[in-house]
Amino acid sequence: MLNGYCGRILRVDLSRRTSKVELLSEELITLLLGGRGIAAKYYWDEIAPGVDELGEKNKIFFFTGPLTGTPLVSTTKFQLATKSPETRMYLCSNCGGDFGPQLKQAGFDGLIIEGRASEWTYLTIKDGAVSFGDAGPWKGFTSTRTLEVLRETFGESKCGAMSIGPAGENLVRISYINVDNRAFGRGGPGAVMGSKKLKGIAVKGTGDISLANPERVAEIRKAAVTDLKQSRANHTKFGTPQYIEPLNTLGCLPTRNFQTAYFEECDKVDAHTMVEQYVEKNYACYRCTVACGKMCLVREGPYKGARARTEFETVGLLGPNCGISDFGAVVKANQLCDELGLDTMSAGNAVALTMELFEKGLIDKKDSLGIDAHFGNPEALFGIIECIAARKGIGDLLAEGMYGVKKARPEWKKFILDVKGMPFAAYDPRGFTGNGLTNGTSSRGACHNVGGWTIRAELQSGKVDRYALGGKGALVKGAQDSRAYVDSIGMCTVVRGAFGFSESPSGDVLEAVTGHAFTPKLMEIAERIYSMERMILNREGIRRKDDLLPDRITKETIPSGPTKGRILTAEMYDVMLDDYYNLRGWDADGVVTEQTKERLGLTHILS
Amino acid sequence: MTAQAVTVRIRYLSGLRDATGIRMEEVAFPAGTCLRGVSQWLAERYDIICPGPSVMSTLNGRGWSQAPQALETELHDRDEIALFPLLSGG
Repeated sequence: MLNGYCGRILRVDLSRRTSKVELLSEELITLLLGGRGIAAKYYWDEIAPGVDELGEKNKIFFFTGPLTGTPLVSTTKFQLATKSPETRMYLCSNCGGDFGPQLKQAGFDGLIIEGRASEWTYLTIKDGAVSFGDAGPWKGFTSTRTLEVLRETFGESKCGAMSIGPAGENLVRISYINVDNRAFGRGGPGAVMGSKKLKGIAVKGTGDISLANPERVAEIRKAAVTDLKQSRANHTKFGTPQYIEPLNTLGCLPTRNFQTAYFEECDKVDAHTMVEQYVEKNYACYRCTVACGKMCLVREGPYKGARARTEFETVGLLGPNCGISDFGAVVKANQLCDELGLDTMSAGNAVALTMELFEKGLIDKKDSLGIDAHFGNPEALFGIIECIAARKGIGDLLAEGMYGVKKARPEWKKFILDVKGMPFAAYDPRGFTGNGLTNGTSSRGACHNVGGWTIRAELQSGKVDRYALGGKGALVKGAQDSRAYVDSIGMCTVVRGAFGFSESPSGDVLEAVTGHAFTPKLMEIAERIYSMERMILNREGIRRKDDLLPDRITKETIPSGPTKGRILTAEMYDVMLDDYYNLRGWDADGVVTEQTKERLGLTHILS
Repeated sequence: MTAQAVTVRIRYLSGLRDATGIRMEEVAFPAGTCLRGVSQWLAERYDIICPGPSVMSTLNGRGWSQAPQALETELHDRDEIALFPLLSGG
C-alpha cells in the first residue's frame, strides 16, 4: 500500500451491530486519489437509484485523503457521500475537525455506516475496537451537548467526534452533522444519521501515518507556514466574514431573499464590526496555522451570552438575506442552528423565503405560529429556525427542504433560490455569470465550492469579465476539477495555494507523502471524479433541465445597488451551459457520453 | 483642483481599511493618469502592492485586468476604485 494510506476500510452495520474490516484497492487509489473520489465510487457501487434517503438502504461513506492527518498544515479534511435527504440525490460533503485525522490514526482510510439501529445508538472506535452504546438518554440533546457526553462516555477527551441535534432526530432534511464543532453542513446528512438512530460517533487512533519522505514533508511544511503567515494574514484576522463588505460593494450580496444584491446596512454585519465587538478568540482546525475560525461572543444587549463561530456564508444568509442588520442576532441564530442541528445556509434561505411570503401576504401569522415574519426581525429569525427544527407550523414544510416545498407549493417556486433542491450560497449570480454556471452544474445542487468558486477569477482574469458569457465554461470546469482533487486529498482549500494545489498543480507534496507521482495527474484524476459524479446523477435522473437556474435569477433584474439592472437570462445561461457540456464531453442533455467514459477510464472503474 | 485633474474615489474594504486607516478617500490625479499611476501612488502612500498576490482591485466594479487597456486604462472623473483582500471562497 502507498504511504499516506492505511489500505483498510471499516464497515459498520447498525442493524446487526456488527463491523468488519475491508481492504482498499491500490488501483482505486491511483485512479481516484481518496476522499471525495473514492467515496463517490463506493456510492456508485452501493446506492442504487430509488433508494430512500431516509431508509435502511441508504449508507454514509466517510473517506479521508492521503494528506489527512499528516504533519503538513490543515490536513484536517475528510469527505462524506450519501444520498441527500435535501436534494433526493447524490451528496458529497467536506469537513474539518479532528475526526478524519483520528480515523486515519485508528488505521482506516474510510468508514461506512449502513443499516439502521432499532434504538438510539452511539458508536465508538478505538484503533481497531468498535463498540455500540445506548444513546437513548441523549435523545433531544443539542449537537454540542451530545459531543460533550459522547467524549465523556468514551473516556477520550482528545478524540474525533460527530453528532446530530434534535433536527437530525426529527428527520429535518436540512440538518447537519456536527463534527468537532465543524460541519458536514449541506444536503441534510444529519437526517440520514437520524434515520439510522445514530446519535453520535467517536474515534480515537494511536497509530502513525506512514510518510514516503518525512524529511521532505517537514521542509514543505516549514515553507508553507512561512507563506501562509503572509498570504493568509487577513484570514487570520478577519476569517471568511471579510468577504461581506467586498461582495456588497460589488453588488453580489444576497439581500432579503435575493430580492436585491446590495445591503444598505452592511457596516453593521461586516468583518470589522465582528472583530471589534464580537470576536472572543480564533479557532484553528487540526494542524492549521491560519486559524480562520472566529469564535464570537455577544457581550451585551438582548442576545448577551450567545456564542458561535460565524463564517461568511452564515453571516450572509442569516444576516442580509433575512434583512438582519444586528450582528449579535446573527451570532444567536448561528448558535441556534448549530445546537438544534440545522445547516445555517439552508436555514437562512428557508427563513428568507418565509419572510418574503409573509410580506407578500402569501402566508400569515397562523402559518408562522404567531411570528411577525418581516424581514429584519431577529425574533422571527430565531422563531422560524426553532419551528423548522421542531417541525412546527410552516417549519414542518420548510423541514422538507426546497425540493419538498416546491412539490407541496409549486406556486412559490418563483421565490425559491435553489438548484436541484439545494439553496444558494451567499453570492448573487446576476453579478457574476460564472457563479451561475457554478450553481447550475455543481455535483450536489447549488454549491459555490463543489460547483467551482469563480469569483476571484471573474474579477482578476484578463480573459473573463464578470458579466461575460464566453470563457465561463472553461473557467467553471477548471475550478470544479481543482476543487474535486483538493476534496480528495484531505487538505483545507484555504491553505492549498501554499502547497501548489492550483489548476496547474505543482510541487511534490503528494510524492513526499505517498511515494506515488500523483501531481502531474491531479487534474486528470479530478476530471474523472467530476464525470463519475455526473454519471451518478445521470443514473438518478438528472439532466439539463435540472441544471437550470431559478426564476429570480433568470427573469428579474437586480433593482438596486451597484449591479442595478443586471440579470442572467435563461438564454444567456444556455450559452454558457452548452460551452460547458461540450468541454466536459457530456451531450447536450448533460449526459456523460460513452466516449468520455472511455477517455476517463470510467467504463472500467464503474464496471 | 485644476481643470486638468480627474477626481477618483478609492474605497478600502475589509483588511485594506486597516492598512490605510480610512475607508474611502477622493484623490485628484493629473489628467491622463492610468491605473498604473494609481498603483504607484498606492505603493508610495500606503505600501500597498496592487496588483499583487494579496490585494484585489476593481475599477467601476470590474477587475483592473479587465479594464479596456488593463493597467494602461486612463482614469476619468468620478471613477471609483475598490481595493480589498484576496477573496478565496467562503
